[in-house]
Amino acid sequence: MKYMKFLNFIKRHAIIMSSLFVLLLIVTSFGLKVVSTNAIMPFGGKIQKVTYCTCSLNLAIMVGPPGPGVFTYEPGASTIKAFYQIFRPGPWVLGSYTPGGVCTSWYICGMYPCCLPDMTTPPPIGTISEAGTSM
Amino acid sequence: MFPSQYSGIAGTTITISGAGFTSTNNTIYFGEHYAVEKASSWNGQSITFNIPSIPKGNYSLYVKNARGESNKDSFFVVTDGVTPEPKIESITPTSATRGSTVTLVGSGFTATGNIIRTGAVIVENIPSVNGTALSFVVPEAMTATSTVPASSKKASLPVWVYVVNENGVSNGKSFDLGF
Repeated sequence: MKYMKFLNFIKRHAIIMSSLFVLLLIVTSFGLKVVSTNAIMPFGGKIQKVTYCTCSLNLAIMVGPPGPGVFTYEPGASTIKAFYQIFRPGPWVLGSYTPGGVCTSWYICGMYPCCLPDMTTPPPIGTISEAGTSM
Repeated sequence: MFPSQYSGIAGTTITISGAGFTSTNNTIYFGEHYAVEKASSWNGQSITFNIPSIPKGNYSLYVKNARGESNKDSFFVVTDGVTPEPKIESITPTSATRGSTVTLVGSGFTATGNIIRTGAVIVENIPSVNGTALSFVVPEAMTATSTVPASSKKASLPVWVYVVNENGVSNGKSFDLGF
């Protein structure tokens, strides 16, 4: 009997109950911890070295302090802004990157060419998402 | 260390950014003969000051303080506000490789001493016969030098070009550089 009364109450107040349910979902969602797999991190400093990765067809850009590291520039994916001077040492660069990146170049392995991580630059820690440079 | 802009008339307020600035007594040099003294930095990473009244020209820009001397690869062109700054209207070819001759057409190029700053290399002392055209050869250093198998696919990079001379700094134009 009580169960039937409860069902009738729900039916009569369906709009109010559904609104309360949606509100509850919204409120609790603010407490959820969201882990992003594509974190965007800042970097910046003076460009110290640029390596052409002849196999992976991108560039590894070594950046000095204050936000140092080696980052890959991916043609078509990395967005560069004025003054676009990212392919030589000297200018300062400030931008963002996503973790992970590869720089491979062609080497001679026995009798055949092979594609290996470039041996002239440290492994990249990220891929440039977007960056602006000085001149 | 780099400035917020690369050309302007005397009195223009600019900010230089970098690291290692002291809170007081930074000296900002324009070449060896002109300087702004006792400049302060509130955060050690930037200094804001006015361009001094000095003759127009392209000056090496650097900072000295108690911690030492900054890099000297930055520059600033002091303009007179009358002479038009260089302007690039077109660039040909739009796709080039090592050894190619690239030609810029525009205005405000000087007879001698034009500097072409590209994303990959700086080419100095380029003459312009008529003030409207500049040509330079894409240097070997501009692209990869290691051997790439012929079967490997090729890639290209957008290389932006600016002209700097005693009259100022041009707008940028780009061409694709294969490597």
